[in-house]
Amino acid sequence: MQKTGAAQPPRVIRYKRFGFGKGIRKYWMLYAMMILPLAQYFIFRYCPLYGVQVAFKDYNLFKGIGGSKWAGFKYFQEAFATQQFWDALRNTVWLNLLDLIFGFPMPIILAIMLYEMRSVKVKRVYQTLMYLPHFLSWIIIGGIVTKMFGSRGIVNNVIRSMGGSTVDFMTNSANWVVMYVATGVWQGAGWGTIIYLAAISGVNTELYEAAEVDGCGRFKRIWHITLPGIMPTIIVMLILQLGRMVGIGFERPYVMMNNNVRDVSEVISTFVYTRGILNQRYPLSTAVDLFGSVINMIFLFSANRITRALGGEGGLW
Amino acid sequence: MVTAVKSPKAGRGVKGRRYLGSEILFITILTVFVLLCVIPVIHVVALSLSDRQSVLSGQVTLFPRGWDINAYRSVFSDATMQRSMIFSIILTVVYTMMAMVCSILIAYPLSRSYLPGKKILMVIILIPMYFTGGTIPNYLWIKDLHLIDSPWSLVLPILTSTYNIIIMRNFFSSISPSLEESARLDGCNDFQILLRIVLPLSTASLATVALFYAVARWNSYADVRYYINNQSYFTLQMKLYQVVFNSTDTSVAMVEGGANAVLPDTIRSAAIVFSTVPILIVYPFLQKYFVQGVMIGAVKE
Repeated sequence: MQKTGAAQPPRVIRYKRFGFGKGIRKYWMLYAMMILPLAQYFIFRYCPLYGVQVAFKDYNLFKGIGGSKWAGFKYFQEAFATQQFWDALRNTVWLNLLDLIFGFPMPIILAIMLYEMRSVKVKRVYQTLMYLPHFLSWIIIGGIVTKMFGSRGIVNNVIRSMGGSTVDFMTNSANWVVMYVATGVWQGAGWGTIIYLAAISGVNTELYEAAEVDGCGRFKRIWHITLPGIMPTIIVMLILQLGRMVGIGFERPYVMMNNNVRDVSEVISTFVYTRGILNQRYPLSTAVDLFGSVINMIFLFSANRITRALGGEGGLW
Repeated sequence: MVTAVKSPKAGRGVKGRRYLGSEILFITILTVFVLLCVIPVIHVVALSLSDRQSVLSGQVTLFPRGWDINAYRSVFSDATMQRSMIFSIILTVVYTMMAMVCSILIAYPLSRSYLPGKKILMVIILIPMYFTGGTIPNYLWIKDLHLIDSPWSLVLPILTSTYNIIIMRNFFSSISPSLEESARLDGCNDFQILLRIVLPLSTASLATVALFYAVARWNSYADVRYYINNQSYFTLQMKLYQVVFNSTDTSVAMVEGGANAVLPDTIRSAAIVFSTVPILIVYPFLQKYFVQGVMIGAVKE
């Protein structure tokens, strides 16, 4: 902070002396530019927050959000009383936990290996190919996965040709969970390396040279220099992921699920979609959604607090 | 302008000999992962180009067998598919242009370190990253705005992305301030500086962010599912969902009844490839930009 202050002092001090009013007059054009995007933020990010109160109201289509009667925690109680809600909550947390265990370390490992690779050309080609799955839509990925792992798909063809019997990858609950997690890793791990590669390239190279002189081997160097060097980034990414433990995207579970595995694949987002938008039970589904968001916030804040308490230099704020 | 990251200098001195074991291990693991990334895509392309017998007998692996492009003929000649393709292209182009204008207009002022109130404005755009209304409040709001079944419901709510704005802002602020000063001495105002100096110097980050916006719009499915019931505003992804996941989809049934019956599996593969092609065409050209663009955005964060 001090450094940037020293680099360009006259500007910063000047507006501070004249105050905000002068600032507006001097930079009116910059403020004018922002009107359109800020209006978009206000209309489409902040205004919908007004509708969160639907969770506490007997929503009436004709009276609108403001005119409907307050219902207290009635819809939360209703949600908590149904088994489907607890199933959706359990599945959401369980799938996210598996994503965390298997999906989180993958980009870190891949990024370190990419960085250590000697041939720049091969590295570039590998990076390009690794990012590819990130640019495919979940519909396409879902289509590819269900086709390849279906009973007539290539994987089962290979298994049968080697003398095995057909495996029901997509229709058996336990197998489906494995497929869900593996698909997530497949889609996101390559792309996830970018942020860690950026962090690794920020590690002081003199440290590597010093380690070399001290006779550190490759793995020791990775363990003692690279990993500690990127730890702040890892911690920030971890906190962000912990802050999403009860939230889950809609598209990935939606395209991968089928009726045979509904017991493990119904998650909060699909619950909200079927109850809310399809069956128009707005208060109930808003309550479920809000409940998830609140738990996410608690996770996010406590993860951040714990990191800071442990003396980590990371942390979000 | 190096897109791939430099390797540590250590270990390079003795060419090839040092750490040979771990080098082989790393390359093997990375190669396996890269192959896993690519093989499924190649397999689907192969399926879409193979003939009936080869697909039925499960002989198709990585190369098409018994070359047959009838599946593509069916997909292309399907009127609803064509309409979705055209609608998706128009939607993506219009959306990307509008989103870019919107993002530049806020990223540039936020990149000026001297702008009073910059911190508050940053907080205003960061809060929605962590706290959103949720599916139903958003849906009810779109409904109140009478945007249900309007293509604008697929454009206006997502015109800004805080993540992309931050990438852009970081890139803008990495441009040397002396250029701005000299332009100001020449009598340029803020808008002219943005237009004539900052934007021409930021092609890498602009290309990156434009790619992110375009891909996000092209691939999104949830908002179409939520807000659109009118078939004429179905995007390609929505259409694709029907073809790939609903065996009862009418257009596929029609094709199946045709004279040279094409297998539904082949049709589905062709539809998947058909909707991926636009991304695969632009991807290699933009790839060298986006790594650089994201890196700069990420490092400065």
